[in-house]
Amino acid sequence: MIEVDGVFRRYPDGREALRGVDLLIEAGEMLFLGGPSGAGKSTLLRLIAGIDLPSRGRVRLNGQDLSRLRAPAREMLRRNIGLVFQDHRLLMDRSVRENAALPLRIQGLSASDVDRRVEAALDRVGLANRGADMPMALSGGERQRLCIARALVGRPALIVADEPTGNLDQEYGEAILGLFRSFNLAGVTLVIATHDERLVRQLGGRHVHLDAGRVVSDAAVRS
Amino acid sequence: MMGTLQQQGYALRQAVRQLLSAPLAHLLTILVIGLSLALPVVLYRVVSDLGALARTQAGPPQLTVFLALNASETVIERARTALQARTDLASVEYIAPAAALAEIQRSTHLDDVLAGLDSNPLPGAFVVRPRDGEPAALAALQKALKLLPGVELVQLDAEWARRVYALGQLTERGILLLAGVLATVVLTVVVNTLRLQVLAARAEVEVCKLLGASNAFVRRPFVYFGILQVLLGALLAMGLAELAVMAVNQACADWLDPLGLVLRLQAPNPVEWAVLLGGALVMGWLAGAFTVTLFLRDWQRH
Ligand SMILES: Nc1ncnc2c1ncn2[C@@H]1O[C@H](COP(=O)(O)OP(=O)(O)OP(=O)(O)O)[C@@H](O)[C@H]1O
Ligand SMILES: [Mg+2]
Repeated sequence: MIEVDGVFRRYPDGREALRGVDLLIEAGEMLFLGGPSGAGKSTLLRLIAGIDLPSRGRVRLNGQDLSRLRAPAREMLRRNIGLVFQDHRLLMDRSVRENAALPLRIQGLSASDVDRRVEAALDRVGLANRGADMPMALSGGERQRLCIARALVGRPALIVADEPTGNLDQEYGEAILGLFRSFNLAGVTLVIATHDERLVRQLGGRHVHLDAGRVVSDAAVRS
Repeated sequence: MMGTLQQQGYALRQAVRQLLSAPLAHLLTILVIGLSLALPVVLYRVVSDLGALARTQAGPPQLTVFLALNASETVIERARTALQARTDLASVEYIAPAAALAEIQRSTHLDDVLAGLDSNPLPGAFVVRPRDGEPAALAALQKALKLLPGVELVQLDAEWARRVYALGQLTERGILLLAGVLATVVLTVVVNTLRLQVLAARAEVEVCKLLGASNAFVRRPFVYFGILQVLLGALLAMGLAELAVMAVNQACADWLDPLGLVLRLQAPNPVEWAVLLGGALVMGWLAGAFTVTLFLRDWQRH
């Protein structure tokens, strides 16, 4: 369960990205975070993943106040979260396979486990035969899918994805969202930021709209 | 934190990958490290072997233990047993009054003077070689020997012993200092390459931290990288040192042997190699841990 409680985030340059956000996300929910560019979606996701801390208010993950945890403890939590970054953050000098394997390397899994899980994850995003390629050789959409494979590979209970369909065409966008849906059905909690309202409207789940650092609407949508 | 075997293996593979990513540049670094490590090793060899040569040429420090004039056979035997029982003496040799007189006659040609004496004026004496040439130990030994029964006087060429000892100490300090300076050079070189390495891998370090990697995980490949570099440098230093010893020995054979001076440098022994490799391990580890820790501390401030 994720509790966002009266959260403000003011950046060092004085810009206030979040101004009093309250949000309760139950385990097993699938939540879409919408809103215009600059609304604070990425900022909120970073706070939920414990990458950044609020300047005011609390973010609790399964009851734990992230602000009260020391950096190593927050890192430990993060290892169990599937993260998709808006700016991809792929290692360009490492093969597709090694990129997808990174979370498992960090967890210290055995070579055979890593191989098996990486192949499965690449297969799920349609990159099964691209494992040996370098990210440079991938199209924008393929890189996006690689990011998603990297988020899936650790079998996290929570996936926090920032614009996971940003570079995907309609078909692949739907395929990825379908994938997320299937994870959600298997019990994984998902928090997905996107301004691709058209794509997600057809999907059920909870739709939260952010504008200028505040929640302006919060509605459950039936698919 | 040690991390799992898999994490160690992964870090080592990353380090090797880094090393092979720019082999020429890293080879140059390894060369500098190798030369810096070889120099004190060879110098140490030269000085210690030259010192050994000087000691055999000049003879080790010795003390002469004079007995009372006309000491009886039993007194001499008691003194001999007491001296031979001492573990701090390397050798004990008795010189009878007659032998001493003969030696003086042989070396000074004072036959006439000596012939005028109606009895041998020389006491019996033991010439002993101590194991420890350190001046304070020699002085203590001199005092202890004087207390033995039947001993009249203990003479020590203190000036000579002190000079040899001081010279030995001086060169040893000099080499230590040089080794310290060169170890600093090695550390600086390794820290510098590592700094560049970390900066080049900045994006990777950031992704790993975002994905929840511990500082230890991020540090590990660089620590291995540092250790690999210095270890390779140390291996190179071993090769260079062996070559240098061979070259010096060849020159000694060509130039000194005809003069009747036999000097051969020993190749560094296994203990010395172990010290070098162990030192290399520690230096590489230190450099890696230090560099990445600094970088992470800087990075986490933002
Ligand atoms: N590191 C930062 N330093 C200063 N200001 C920042 C920083 N990150 C974000 N901001 C500002 O905070 C506000 C919210 O940014 P955020 O990235 O959360 O928006 P977003 O909703 O994700 O936008 P987009 O849809 O374009 O990704 C913006 O005005 C942005 O300029
Ligand atoms: Mg964003």
